[in-house]
Amino acid sequence: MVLSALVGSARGNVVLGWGVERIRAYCVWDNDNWNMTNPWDVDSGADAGQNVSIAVIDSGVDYLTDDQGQIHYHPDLAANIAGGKGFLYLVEYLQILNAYDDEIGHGTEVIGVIAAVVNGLGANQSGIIGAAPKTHIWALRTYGNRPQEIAAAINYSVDVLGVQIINISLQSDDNYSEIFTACNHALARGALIFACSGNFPPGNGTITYPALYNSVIAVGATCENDSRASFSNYGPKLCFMAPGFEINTTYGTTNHHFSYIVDNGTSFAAPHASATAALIWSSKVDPNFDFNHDGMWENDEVWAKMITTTLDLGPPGKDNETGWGLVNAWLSYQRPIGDINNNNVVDGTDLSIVASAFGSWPGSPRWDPRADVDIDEVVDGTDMAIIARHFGEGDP
Amino acid sequence: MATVVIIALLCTGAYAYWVSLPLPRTAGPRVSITSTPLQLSIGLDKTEYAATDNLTVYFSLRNISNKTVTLTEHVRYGLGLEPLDPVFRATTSAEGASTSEPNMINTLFHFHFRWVDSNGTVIYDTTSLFLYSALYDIVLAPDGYLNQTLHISIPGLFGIDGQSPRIEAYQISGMLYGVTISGSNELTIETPSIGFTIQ
Repeated sequence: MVLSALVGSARGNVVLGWGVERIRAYCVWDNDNWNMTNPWDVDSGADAGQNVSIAVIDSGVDYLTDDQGQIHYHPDLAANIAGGKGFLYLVEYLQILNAYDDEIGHGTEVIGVIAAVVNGLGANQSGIIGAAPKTHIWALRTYGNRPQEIAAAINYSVDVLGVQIINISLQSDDNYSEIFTACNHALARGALIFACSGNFPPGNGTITYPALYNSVIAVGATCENDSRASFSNYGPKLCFMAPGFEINTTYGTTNHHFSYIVDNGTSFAAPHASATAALIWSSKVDPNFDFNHDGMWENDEVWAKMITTTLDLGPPGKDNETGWGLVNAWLSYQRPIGDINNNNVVDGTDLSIVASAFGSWPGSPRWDPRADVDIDEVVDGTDMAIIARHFGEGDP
Repeated sequence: MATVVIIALLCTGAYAYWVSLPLPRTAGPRVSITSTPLQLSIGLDKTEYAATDNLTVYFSLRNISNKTVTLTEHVRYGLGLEPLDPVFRATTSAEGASTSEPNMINTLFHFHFRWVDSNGTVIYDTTSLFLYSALYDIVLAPDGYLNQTLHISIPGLFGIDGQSPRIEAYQISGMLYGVTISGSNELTIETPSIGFTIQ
Protein backbone atom coordinates (compact mmCIF):
# COMPACT_ATOMS: atom_id res chain seq x y z
CA MET A 1 0.00 0.00 0.00
CA VAL A 2 1.26 3.49 -0.83
CA LEU A 3 1.27 6.22 1.78
CA SER A 4 -1.12 8.39 -0.20
CA ALA A 5 -3.82 5.76 0.27
CA LEU A 6 -3.74 6.07 4.04
CA VAL A 7 -6.50 7.84 5.94
CA GLY A 8 -5.32 10.82 7.91
CA SER A 9 -3.58 14.15 7.65
CA ALA A 10 -0.72 14.05 5.16
CA ARG A 11 1.85 16.80 5.17
CA GLY A 12 4.66 16.21 2.72
CA ASN A 13 5.47 12.53 2.90
CA VAL A 14 4.34 12.13 6.49
CA VAL A 15 0.92 10.80 7.43
CA LEU A 16 -0.65 11.33 10.82
CA GLY A 17 -3.41 8.78 11.30
CA TRP A 18 -6.77 10.15 12.31
CA GLY A 19 -6.60 8.10 15.51
CA VAL A 20 -3.38 9.77 16.66
CA GLU A 21 -4.88 13.10 15.70
CA ARG A 22 -8.21 12.39 17.43
CA ILE A 23 -6.73 11.60 20.83
CA ARG A 24 -4.60 14.70 20.28
CA ALA A 25 -1.35 12.82 20.92
CA TYR A 26 0.53 15.12 18.57
CA CYS A 27 -0.11 18.05 20.93
CA VAL A 28 2.19 16.27 23.37
CA TRP A 29 5.19 15.83 21.08
CA ASP A 30 4.68 18.13 18.09
CA ASN A 31 4.63 21.41 19.96
CA ASP A 32 5.29 23.62 16.95
CA ASN A 33 2.25 22.31 15.17
CA TRP A 34 -0.46 24.11 17.05
CA ASN A 35 -1.28 26.20 13.98
CA MET A 36 -1.59 22.99 11.92
CA THR A 37 0.60 24.22 9.07
CA ASN A 38 4.02 22.74 9.82
CA PRO A 39 4.90 19.24 8.62
CA TRP A 40 4.10 16.50 11.07
CA ASP A 41 7.12 15.65 13.13
CA VAL A 42 8.30 14.78 16.62
CA ASP A 43 10.13 17.52 18.47
CA SER A 44 13.49 16.30 19.65
CA GLY A 45 13.05 17.36 23.25
CA ALA A 46 9.40 16.44 23.64
CA ASP A 47 8.02 13.73 25.88
CA ALA A 48 6.84 11.03 23.53
CA GLY A 49 7.11 7.84 25.51
CA GLN A 50 10.88 7.78 25.93
CA ASN A 51 12.12 5.65 28.83
CA VAL A 52 8.86 3.71 28.67
CA SER A 53 8.81 0.10 27.49
CA ILE A 54 5.76 -1.63 26.09
CA ALA A 55 5.55 -5.36 25.47
CA VAL A 56 3.28 -6.12 22.54
CA ILE A 57 2.12 -9.72 22.92
CA ASP A 58 1.02 -10.58 19.42
CA SER A 59 2.28 -12.12 16.16
CA GLY A 60 5.73 -10.51 16.42
CA VAL A 61 7.09 -7.77 14.19
CA ASP A 62 8.06 -7.86 10.55
CA TYR A 63 11.81 -7.96 9.92
CA LEU A 64 14.41 -9.09 7.44
CA THR A 65 17.64 -10.79 8.39
CA ASP A 66 20.57 -10.09 6.08
CA ASP A 67 23.48 -12.35 5.21
CA GLN A 68 25.44 -11.07 8.20
CA GLY A 69 22.59 -11.96 10.54
CA GLN A 70 21.67 -8.32 11.02
CA ILE A 71 17.97 -7.67 11.60
CA HIS A 72 16.25 -4.90 9.62
CA TYR A 73 12.85 -3.64 10.77
CA HIS A 74 10.21 -1.64 8.97
CA PRO A 75 11.82 1.79 8.48
CA ASP A 76 9.09 3.49 10.50
CA LEU A 77 9.61 1.10 13.42
CA ALA A 78 13.36 0.63 13.42
CA ALA A 79 14.06 3.45 15.87
CA ASN A 80 11.82 2.04 18.55
CA ILE A 81 12.02 -1.75 18.48
CA ALA A 82 14.07 -2.79 21.48
CA GLY A 83 13.92 -6.47 20.53
CA GLY A 84 11.68 -9.46 20.82
CA LYS A 85 11.19 -13.10 21.70
CA GLY A 86 9.07 -15.98 20.50
CA PHE A 87 7.00 -18.19 22.80
CA LEU A 88 6.16 -21.72 21.68
CA TYR A 89 4.47 -24.26 23.90
CA LEU A 90 4.53 -27.89 22.85
CA VAL A 91 4.45 -31.16 24.76
CA GLU A 92 4.18 -29.48 28.15
CA TYR A 93 7.37 -27.63 27.40
CA LEU A 94 7.67 -23.91 26.79
CA GLN A 95 10.37 -22.73 24.45
CA ILE A 96 11.50 -19.10 24.40
CA LEU A 97 12.90 -18.46 20.94
CA ASN A 98 14.98 -15.67 19.50
CA ALA A 99 12.81 -15.61 16.36
CA TYR A 100 9.87 -13.21 16.50
CA ASP A 101 9.32 -12.40 12.83
CA ASP A 102 5.71 -11.59 11.99
CA GLU A 103 4.08 -14.03 9.58
CA ILE A 104 0.57 -12.66 10.05
CA GLY A 105 1.24 -8.91 10.00
CA HIS A 106 -1.00 -8.16 12.96
CA GLY A 107 1.73 -7.47 15.49
CA THR A 108 3.44 -5.10 13.07
CA GLU A 109 0.16 -3.21 12.77
CA VAL A 110 -0.36 -2.90 16.52
CA ILE A 111 3.21 -1.72 17.07
CA GLY A 112 2.86 0.92 14.34
CA VAL A 113 -0.12 2.49 16.12
CA ILE A 114 2.04 2.99 19.20
CA ALA A 115 5.52 3.70 17.97
CA ALA A 116 5.88 4.33 14.24
CA VAL A 117 8.20 7.25 13.65
CA VAL A 118 8.72 8.30 10.02
CA ASN A 119 12.00 6.65 9.14
CA GLY A 120 13.47 7.33 12.53
CA LEU A 121 13.15 11.09 12.33
CA GLY A 122 15.85 11.30 9.67
CA ALA A 123 16.10 13.56 6.67
CA ASN A 124 13.66 13.10 3.77
CA GLN A 125 11.04 11.95 6.19
CA SER A 126 8.30 9.76 4.87
CA GLY A 127 5.99 7.36 6.58
CA ILE A 128 3.60 7.49 9.50
CA ILE A 129 3.76 8.53 13.14
CA GLY A 130 2.36 6.53 16.02
CA ALA A 131 0.81 7.95 19.17
CA ALA A 132 3.88 7.59 21.40
CA PRO A 133 6.73 7.71 18.89
CA LYS A 134 9.67 7.39 21.28
CA THR A 135 8.45 4.33 23.16
CA HIS A 136 10.63 1.22 23.36
CA ILE A 137 8.76 -1.76 21.99
CA TRP A 138 9.33 -5.43 22.80
CA ALA A 139 7.69 -7.64 20.20
CA LEU A 140 6.69 -10.87 21.94
CA ARG A 141 5.40 -13.39 19.45
CA THR A 142 3.11 -16.16 20.67
CA TYR A 143 3.46 -18.82 18.01
CA GLY A 144 0.20 -20.67 18.52
CA ASN A 145 -1.65 -18.14 20.69
CA ARG A 146 -1.90 -20.92 23.24
CA PRO A 147 -2.74 -19.79 26.77
CA GLN A 148 0.55 -21.15 28.07
CA GLU A 149 2.42 -18.99 25.55
CA ILE A 150 0.45 -15.84 26.37
CA ALA A 151 0.86 -16.35 30.11
CA ALA A 152 4.59 -16.91 29.67
CA ALA A 153 4.91 -13.76 27.57
CA ILE A 154 3.10 -11.71 30.23
CA ASN A 155 5.38 -13.05 32.95
CA TYR A 156 8.46 -12.49 30.80
CA SER A 157 7.37 -8.90 30.16
CA VAL A 158 7.42 -7.95 33.82
CA ASP A 159 9.95 -10.39 35.29
CA VAL A 160 12.66 -10.19 32.62
CA LEU A 161 12.00 -7.06 30.59
CA GLY A 162 10.50 -4.95 33.37
CA VAL A 163 8.11 -3.16 31.04
CA GLN A 164 5.61 -0.64 32.32
CA ILE A 165 2.90 -1.49 29.79
CA ILE A 166 1.65 -4.66 28.10
CA ASN A 167 -0.59 -4.54 25.04
CA ILE A 168 -2.68 -7.60 24.15
CA SER A 169 -4.82 -7.25 21.03
CA LEU A 170 -6.15 -10.80 21.25
CA GLN A 171 -9.52 -12.21 22.22
CA SER A 172 -10.93 -15.49 23.43
CA ASP A 173 -14.26 -16.55 24.86
CA ASP A 174 -12.48 -18.89 27.24
CA ASN A 175 -11.04 -18.15 30.67
CA TYR A 176 -7.61 -19.68 31.28
CA SER A 177 -6.29 -19.75 34.82
CA GLU A 178 -2.66 -19.33 33.80
CA ILE A 179 -3.44 -16.07 32.00
CA PHE A 180 -5.59 -14.84 34.88
CA THR A 181 -2.69 -15.49 37.25
CA ALA A 182 -0.15 -13.88 34.93
CA CYS A 183 -2.25 -10.72 34.54
CA ASN A 184 -2.61 -10.40 38.32
CA HIS A 185 1.13 -10.88 38.65
CA ALA A 186 1.87 -8.18 36.07
CA LEU A 187 -0.41 -5.69 37.79
CA ALA A 188 1.21 -6.47 41.14
CA ARG A 189 4.62 -5.91 39.56
CA GLY A 190 3.57 -2.41 38.57
CA ALA A 191 2.57 -2.87 34.94
CA LEU A 192 -0.60 -1.85 33.17
CA ILE A 193 -2.16 -4.30 30.73
CA PHE A 194 -4.35 -2.95 27.95
CA ALA A 195 -6.41 -5.45 25.98
CA CYS A 196 -8.99 -5.04 23.25
CA SER A 197 -12.63 -5.56 24.20
CA GLY A 198 -13.05 -7.98 21.27
CA ASN A 199 -14.88 -7.91 17.94
CA PHE A 200 -17.27 -10.83 18.22
CA PRO A 201 -19.92 -11.79 19.24
CA PRO A 202 -21.85 -8.51 19.17
CA GLY A 203 -23.95 -7.11 22.00
CA ASN A 204 -23.81 -6.11 25.63
CA GLY A 205 -21.79 -8.25 28.05
CA THR A 206 -19.61 -9.66 25.30
CA ILE A 207 -16.17 -8.46 26.34
CA THR A 208 -13.66 -11.24 25.79
CA TYR A 209 -10.65 -12.52 27.72
CA PRO A 210 -8.15 -11.28 28.75
CA ALA A 211 -9.90 -7.88 28.74
CA LEU A 212 -12.51 -9.33 31.08
CA TYR A 213 -10.06 -9.71 33.98
CA ASN A 214 -10.08 -7.00 36.65
CA SER A 215 -6.32 -6.68 36.31
CA VAL A 216 -6.65 -5.79 32.63
CA ILE A 217 -7.91 -2.54 31.11
CA ALA A 218 -10.55 -3.22 28.44
CA VAL A 219 -10.48 -0.90 25.42
CA GLY A 220 -13.24 -0.64 22.82
CA ALA A 221 -13.11 0.91 19.36
CA THR A 222 -14.51 4.19 18.07
CA CYS A 223 -15.04 5.50 14.56
CA GLU A 224 -13.94 8.94 13.40
CA ASN A 225 -17.22 10.49 14.60
CA ASP A 226 -16.62 9.08 18.12
CA SER A 227 -19.40 6.51 17.82
CA ARG A 228 -18.74 2.98 19.05
CA ALA A 229 -17.66 0.84 16.12
CA SER A 230 -20.41 -1.67 15.37
CA PHE A 231 -18.03 -4.59 15.86
CA SER A 232 -16.73 -3.38 19.23
CA ASN A 233 -17.75 -5.58 22.16
CA TYR A 234 -18.96 -3.84 25.28
CA GLY A 235 -20.24 -4.41 28.77
CA PRO A 236 -19.73 -3.38 32.41
CA LYS A 237 -16.02 -4.17 32.29
CA LEU A 238 -15.31 -1.70 29.47
CA CYS A 239 -12.92 1.00 30.65
CA PHE A 240 -11.83 3.15 27.68
CA MET A 241 -12.64 3.83 24.07
CA ALA A 242 -10.01 4.62 21.46
CA PRO A 243 -9.88 4.84 17.67
CA GLY A 244 -10.22 1.43 16.01
CA PHE A 245 -11.82 1.97 12.62
CA GLU A 246 -9.86 2.72 9.45
CA ILE A 247 -6.59 3.02 11.31
CA ASN A 248 -3.36 3.84 9.47
CA THR A 249 -0.46 1.74 10.48
CA THR A 250 2.57 -0.24 9.43
CA TYR A 251 2.21 -3.70 7.96
CA GLY A 252 4.47 -6.50 6.86
CA THR A 253 4.86 -10.26 6.80
CA THR A 254 7.55 -12.71 5.92
CA ASN A 255 6.53 -12.64 2.26
CA HIS A 256 5.46 -8.99 2.03
CA HIS A 257 7.83 -6.76 3.94
CA PHE A 258 7.61 -3.16 5.09
CA SER A 259 4.28 -1.88 3.91
CA TYR A 260 1.30 0.10 5.21
CA ILE A 261 -2.33 -0.70 5.77
CA VAL A 262 -5.65 0.84 6.82
CA ASP A 263 -7.32 -1.61 9.16
CA ASN A 264 -10.28 -2.12 11.51
CA GLY A 265 -10.73 -3.77 14.87
CA THR A 266 -10.51 -3.33 18.60
CA SER A 267 -6.97 -4.62 18.04
CA PHE A 268 -6.06 -1.06 17.08
CA ALA A 269 -7.98 0.65 19.87
CA ALA A 270 -5.92 -0.98 22.62
CA PRO A 271 -2.57 0.37 21.35
CA HIS A 272 -3.93 3.93 21.23
CA ALA A 273 -4.68 3.53 24.96
CA SER A 274 -1.32 1.88 25.64
CA ALA A 275 0.41 4.79 23.91
CA THR A 276 -1.56 7.30 25.96
CA ALA A 277 -0.35 5.59 29.12
CA ALA A 278 3.21 5.73 27.78
CA LEU A 279 2.93 9.47 27.21
CA ILE A 280 1.87 9.95 30.83
CA TRP A 281 4.57 7.64 32.11
CA SER A 282 7.31 9.50 30.22
CA SER A 283 6.29 12.86 31.64
CA LYS A 284 7.13 14.27 35.06
CA VAL A 285 4.79 12.93 37.70
CA ASP A 286 1.65 14.97 38.32
CA PRO A 287 1.51 15.86 42.04
CA ASN A 288 -2.27 15.59 41.96
CA PHE A 289 -2.00 11.93 40.99
CA ASP A 290 1.12 11.00 42.94
CA PHE A 291 -0.96 9.20 45.52
CA ASN A 292 1.98 7.78 47.47
CA HIS A 293 4.01 11.00 47.16
CA ASP A 294 7.10 9.20 45.91
CA GLY A 295 7.68 11.50 42.95
CA MET A 296 7.26 8.68 40.46
CA TRP A 297 4.46 7.29 38.35
CA GLU A 298 2.90 4.02 39.49
CA ASN A 299 0.46 1.99 37.42
CA ASP A 300 -2.58 2.94 39.52
CA GLU A 301 -1.69 6.62 39.21
CA VAL A 302 -1.39 6.47 35.42
CA TRP A 303 -4.66 4.56 35.20
CA ALA A 304 -6.41 7.10 37.45
CA LYS A 305 -5.21 10.04 35.39
CA MET A 306 -6.39 8.38 32.19
CA ILE A 307 -9.85 7.88 33.72
CA THR A 308 -10.00 11.46 34.99
CA THR A 309 -9.13 12.97 31.63
CA THR A 310 -11.26 11.01 29.15
CA LEU A 311 -13.76 12.65 26.85
CA ASP A 312 -17.03 11.28 28.15
CA LEU A 313 -19.05 9.59 25.41
CA GLY A 314 -22.61 8.38 25.62
CA PRO A 315 -24.54 8.87 28.88
CA PRO A 316 -22.72 10.96 31.53
CA GLY A 317 -20.14 9.01 33.48
CA LYS A 318 -19.14 5.42 32.97
CA ASP A 319 -21.46 3.31 30.87
CA ASN A 320 -21.41 -0.13 29.29
CA GLU A 321 -21.07 0.98 25.69
CA THR A 322 -18.25 3.51 26.02
CA GLY A 323 -16.72 2.95 29.46
CA TRP A 324 -15.22 6.15 30.88
CA GLY A 325 -14.95 7.55 27.36
CA LEU A 326 -12.36 8.36 24.72
CA VAL A 327 -8.76 8.43 25.90
CA ASN A 328 -7.39 11.96 25.84
CA ALA A 329 -3.64 11.92 25.36
CA TRP A 330 -3.36 15.69 25.44
CA LEU A 331 -5.22 16.35 28.70
CA SER A 332 -3.79 13.29 30.44
CA TYR A 333 -0.30 14.51 29.62
CA GLN A 334 -0.79 18.02 31.03
CA ARG A 335 0.89 18.61 34.33
CA PRO A 336 -0.86 20.03 36.13
CA ILE A 337 -4.07 19.63 34.19
CA GLY A 338 -4.70 22.91 32.42
CA ASP A 339 -1.06 23.74 31.76
CA ILE A 340 -1.31 23.82 28.01
CA ASN A 341 1.86 25.77 27.31
CA ASN A 342 4.02 23.35 29.29
CA ASN A 343 5.50 25.84 31.72
CA ASN A 344 4.46 23.76 34.75
CA VAL A 345 1.88 26.21 36.03
CA VAL A 346 -1.71 26.99 35.08
CA ASP A 347 -1.67 30.72 34.60
CA GLY A 348 -2.92 33.61 32.56
CA THR A 349 -1.06 32.44 29.48
CA ASP A 350 -3.05 29.22 29.42
CA LEU A 351 -6.26 31.17 29.84
CA SER A 352 -5.32 33.54 27.04
CA ILE A 353 -4.60 30.64 24.67
CA VAL A 354 -8.11 29.31 25.27
CA ALA A 355 -9.61 32.80 25.07
CA SER A 356 -7.93 33.47 21.73
CA ALA A 357 -9.34 30.27 20.25
CA PHE A 358 -12.69 30.47 21.98
CA GLY A 359 -15.53 29.38 19.72
CA SER A 360 -13.24 27.80 17.12
CA TRP A 361 -13.30 24.26 15.79
CA PRO A 362 -11.00 22.21 13.51
CA GLY A 363 -10.62 24.06 10.24
CA SER A 364 -11.72 27.44 11.51
CA PRO A 365 -9.18 30.30 11.33
CA ARG A 366 -8.58 30.65 15.09
CA TRP A 367 -8.47 26.91 15.77
CA ASP A 368 -5.76 25.95 18.22
CA PRO A 369 -5.88 22.26 19.15
CA ARG A 370 -4.07 22.93 22.41
CA ALA A 371 -6.98 25.05 23.62
CA ASP A 372 -9.50 22.25 23.08
CA VAL A 373 -8.31 20.46 26.19
CA ASP A 374 -11.30 18.15 26.49
CA ILE A 375 -10.88 17.21 22.78
CA ASP A 376 -14.57 17.62 21.96
CA GLU A 377 -13.57 19.47 18.76
CA VAL A 378 -14.69 22.91 19.91
CA VAL A 379 -13.02 25.44 22.17
CA ASP A 380 -15.78 26.40 24.56
CA GLY A 381 -16.75 27.06 28.13
CA THR A 382 -15.84 23.54 29.20
CA ASP A 383 -12.22 24.10 28.20
CA MET A 384 -12.21 27.46 29.93
CA ALA A 385 -13.70 25.86 33.04
CA ILE A 386 -10.96 23.20 33.15
CA ILE A 387 -8.30 25.91 33.03
CA ALA A 388 -10.12 27.99 35.62
CA ARG A 389 -10.59 25.04 37.96
CA HIS A 390 -6.85 24.38 38.02
CA PHE A 391 -5.75 28.02 37.83
CA GLY A 392 -2.76 28.69 40.01
CA GLU A 393 -1.75 25.07 40.34
CA GLY A 394 1.88 24.52 39.59
CA ASP A 395 5.00 22.59 40.20
CA PRO A 396 6.69 23.77 43.37
CA MET B 1 -6.01 -43.66 -34.25
CA ALA B 2 -9.19 -41.62 -33.93
CA THR B 3 -10.22 -43.73 -30.95
CA VAL B 4 -6.93 -43.00 -29.23
CA VAL B 5 -7.37 -39.27 -29.83
CA ILE B 6 -10.94 -39.37 -28.47
CA ILE B 7 -9.85 -41.31 -25.40
CA ALA B 8 -6.99 -38.84 -24.87
CA LEU B 9 -9.38 -35.91 -25.18
CA LEU B 10 -11.82 -37.53 -22.78
CA CYS B 11 -9.04 -38.15 -20.28
CA THR B 12 -7.81 -34.58 -20.65
CA GLY B 13 -11.35 -33.28 -20.16
CA ALA B 14 -11.90 -35.46 -17.15
CA TYR B 15 -8.61 -34.30 -15.65
CA ALA B 16 -9.47 -30.66 -16.32
CA TYR B 17 -12.81 -31.14 -14.58
CA TRP B 18 -11.14 -32.89 -11.67
CA VAL B 19 -8.61 -30.14 -11.04
CA SER B 20 -11.30 -27.47 -11.31
CA LEU B 21 -13.29 -28.89 -8.40
CA PRO B 22 -13.22 -26.52 -5.42
CA LEU B 23 -12.54 -29.26 -2.92
CA PRO B 24 -9.74 -31.65 -3.83
CA ARG B 25 -10.94 -35.14 -4.58
CA THR B 26 -9.96 -37.31 -1.70
CA ALA B 27 -10.28 -40.91 -0.77
CA GLY B 28 -11.99 -39.83 2.42
CA PRO B 29 -15.41 -38.41 3.20
CA ARG B 30 -16.63 -34.92 2.54
CA VAL B 31 -19.65 -32.90 3.64
CA SER B 32 -21.05 -29.52 2.70
CA ILE B 33 -23.53 -27.03 4.00
CA THR B 34 -25.20 -24.42 1.86
CA SER B 35 -26.07 -21.06 3.34
CA THR B 36 -26.97 -19.07 0.27
CA PRO B 37 -24.96 -17.57 -1.33
CA LEU B 38 -22.16 -19.67 0.14
CA GLN B 39 -21.31 -23.32 0.22
CA LEU B 40 -18.91 -24.46 2.92
CA SER B 41 -17.31 -27.88 2.52
CA ILE B 42 -14.93 -29.97 4.56
CA GLY B 43 -13.23 -33.25 3.64
CA LEU B 44 -10.67 -35.69 4.98
CA ASP B 45 -8.08 -37.68 3.09
CA LYS B 46 -9.25 -40.93 4.73
CA THR B 47 -11.32 -42.23 7.62
CA GLU B 48 -8.82 -44.38 9.49
CA TYR B 49 -5.59 -42.96 10.83
CA ALA B 50 -2.65 -44.33 12.74
CA ALA B 51 -1.63 -42.52 15.89
CA THR B 52 1.51 -41.37 14.09
CA ASP B 53 -0.27 -40.02 10.99
CA ASN B 54 -1.04 -36.55 9.75
CA LEU B 55 -4.73 -35.75 9.51
CA THR B 56 -5.34 -33.86 6.29
CA VAL B 57 -8.43 -31.66 6.30
CA TYR B 58 -9.70 -29.92 3.19
CA PHE B 59 -11.75 -26.75 3.57
CA SER B 60 -13.55 -24.99 0.77
CA LEU B 61 -15.75 -21.91 0.57
CA ARG B 62 -17.58 -21.28 -2.69
CA ASN B 63 -19.85 -18.52 -3.89
CA ILE B 64 -22.73 -20.40 -5.50
CA SER B 65 -24.63 -17.27 -6.51
CA ASN B 66 -24.28 -15.16 -9.62
CA LYS B 67 -23.34 -12.07 -7.63
CA THR B 68 -20.09 -11.03 -5.98
CA VAL B 69 -20.20 -11.73 -2.25
CA THR B 70 -18.23 -9.83 0.38
CA LEU B 71 -17.64 -11.76 3.57
CA THR B 72 -16.29 -9.90 6.60
CA GLU B 73 -14.37 -11.99 9.10
CA HIS B 74 -14.33 -10.37 12.55
CA VAL B 75 -11.21 -12.09 13.84
CA ARG B 76 -8.00 -13.41 12.30
CA TYR B 77 -5.68 -16.24 12.93
CA GLY B 78 -2.77 -17.84 11.21
CA LEU B 79 -2.98 -21.43 12.28
CA GLY B 80 -0.93 -23.73 10.13
CA LEU B 81 1.37 -21.08 8.77
CA GLU B 82 4.06 -21.27 11.38
CA PRO B 83 7.19 -23.05 10.11
CA LEU B 84 8.39 -23.60 13.65
CA ASP B 85 5.11 -25.16 14.74
CA PRO B 86 5.27 -28.87 13.92
CA VAL B 87 1.58 -29.48 14.56
CA PHE B 88 -0.10 -27.57 11.76
CA ARG B 89 0.72 -26.93 8.11
CA ALA B 90 -1.61 -25.18 5.69
CA THR B 91 -1.75 -24.41 2.00
CA THR B 92 -4.11 -22.13 0.12
CA SER B 93 -5.54 -22.09 -3.38
CA ALA B 94 -8.18 -19.74 -4.67
CA GLU B 95 -9.88 -18.57 -7.82
CA GLY B 96 -12.15 -15.58 -7.99
CA ALA B 97 -11.34 -14.85 -4.37
CA SER B 98 -9.48 -11.94 -2.83
CA THR B 99 -8.93 -10.33 0.56
CA SER B 100 -8.97 -6.67 1.56
CA GLU B 101 -5.17 -6.84 1.89
CA PRO B 102 -4.00 -9.14 -0.94
CA ASN B 103 -1.30 -10.73 1.19
CA MET B 104 -3.89 -12.01 3.66
CA ILE B 105 -5.26 -14.60 1.26
CA ASN B 106 -2.21 -16.74 2.00
CA THR B 107 -1.07 -15.58 5.42
CA LEU B 108 -4.33 -16.15 7.28
CA PHE B 109 -6.27 -19.32 7.93
CA HIS B 110 -9.82 -18.47 6.96
CA PHE B 111 -11.71 -21.46 8.37
CA HIS B 112 -12.43 -22.84 11.79
CA PHE B 113 -12.93 -26.41 12.88
CA ARG B 114 -14.10 -28.37 15.91
CA TRP B 115 -12.70 -31.82 16.65
CA VAL B 116 -14.48 -33.85 19.34
CA ASP B 117 -14.18 -37.39 20.66
CA SER B 118 -16.96 -39.95 20.92
CA ASN B 119 -18.13 -38.40 24.21
CA GLY B 120 -18.35 -34.95 22.68
CA THR B 121 -15.26 -33.79 24.56
CA VAL B 122 -13.46 -31.15 22.57
CA ILE B 123 -10.03 -32.18 21.34
CA TYR B 124 -9.42 -28.94 19.45
CA ASP B 125 -11.69 -26.01 18.70
CA THR B 126 -10.19 -23.09 16.85
CA THR B 127 -12.98 -20.75 17.93
CA SER B 128 -11.74 -20.97 21.52
CA LEU B 129 -8.18 -19.99 20.59
CA PHE B 130 -6.90 -16.50 21.21
CA LEU B 131 -7.66 -14.75 17.95
CA TYR B 132 -6.44 -11.42 16.61
CA SER B 133 -9.15 -8.79 17.05
CA ALA B 134 -8.96 -7.36 13.55
CA LEU B 135 -11.45 -7.56 10.72
CA TYR B 136 -10.87 -8.33 7.08
CA ASP B 137 -12.92 -8.95 3.98
CA ILE B 138 -13.01 -11.93 1.66
CA VAL B 139 -14.52 -11.10 -1.72
CA LEU B 140 -15.79 -14.01 -3.79
CA ALA B 141 -16.76 -13.53 -7.42
CA PRO B 142 -19.61 -15.65 -8.80
CA ASP B 143 -18.44 -19.27 -8.63
CA GLY B 144 -15.26 -18.09 -6.95
CA TYR B 145 -13.76 -20.34 -4.31
CA LEU B 146 -11.21 -20.32 -1.54
CA ASN B 147 -9.61 -23.64 -0.60
CA GLN B 148 -7.27 -24.38 2.28
CA THR B 149 -5.71 -27.68 3.20
CA LEU B 150 -4.63 -28.24 6.77
CA HIS B 151 -2.21 -31.00 7.74
CA ILE B 152 -2.45 -31.76 11.44
CA SER B 153 0.17 -33.91 13.11
CA ILE B 154 -1.91 -36.24 15.28
CA PRO B 155 0.89 -37.01 17.77
CA GLY B 156 1.87 -33.34 17.76
CA LEU B 157 -1.64 -32.14 18.53
CA PHE B 158 -2.18 -34.51 21.41
CA GLY B 159 1.38 -33.99 22.54
CA ILE B 160 0.81 -30.29 23.16
CA ASP B 161 -0.68 -31.26 26.48
CA GLY B 162 1.58 -34.24 26.97
CA GLN B 163 -1.00 -36.84 26.01
CA SER B 164 -0.81 -39.71 23.54
CA PRO B 165 -3.48 -40.01 20.86
CA ARG B 166 -6.35 -42.13 22.12
CA ILE B 167 -7.50 -45.03 19.99
CA GLU B 168 -11.12 -44.25 19.35
CA ALA B 169 -13.65 -42.59 17.06
CA TYR B 170 -13.71 -38.84 16.53
CA GLN B 171 -15.72 -36.27 14.63
CA ILE B 172 -14.69 -33.06 12.95
CA SER B 173 -16.72 -30.21 11.51
CA GLY B 174 -15.74 -27.07 9.60
CA MET B 175 -16.95 -23.57 10.37
CA LEU B 176 -17.10 -20.00 9.31
CA TYR B 177 -17.03 -18.19 12.65
CA GLY B 178 -17.99 -14.60 13.33
CA VAL B 179 -18.69 -13.45 9.80
CA THR B 180 -21.08 -11.10 8.10
CA ILE B 181 -22.07 -11.50 4.49
CA SER B 182 -22.45 -8.25 2.57
CA GLY B 183 -23.65 -6.37 5.62
CA SER B 184 -25.99 -8.98 7.07
CA ASN B 185 -26.05 -9.96 10.74
CA GLU B 186 -23.14 -11.90 12.13
CA LEU B 187 -23.34 -15.63 11.81
CA THR B 188 -21.54 -18.87 12.16
CA ILE B 189 -21.89 -21.55 9.49
CA GLU B 190 -20.96 -25.08 10.53
CA THR B 191 -20.85 -28.17 8.35
CA PRO B 192 -22.17 -31.54 9.47
CA SER B 193 -19.52 -33.64 11.20
CA ILE B 194 -17.31 -36.22 9.55
CA GLY B 195 -16.40 -39.31 11.54
CA PHE B 196 -12.94 -40.87 11.58
CA THR B 197 -10.96 -43.19 13.78
CA ILE B 198 -7.48 -43.32 15.16
CA GLN B 199 -6.44 -46.96 15.16
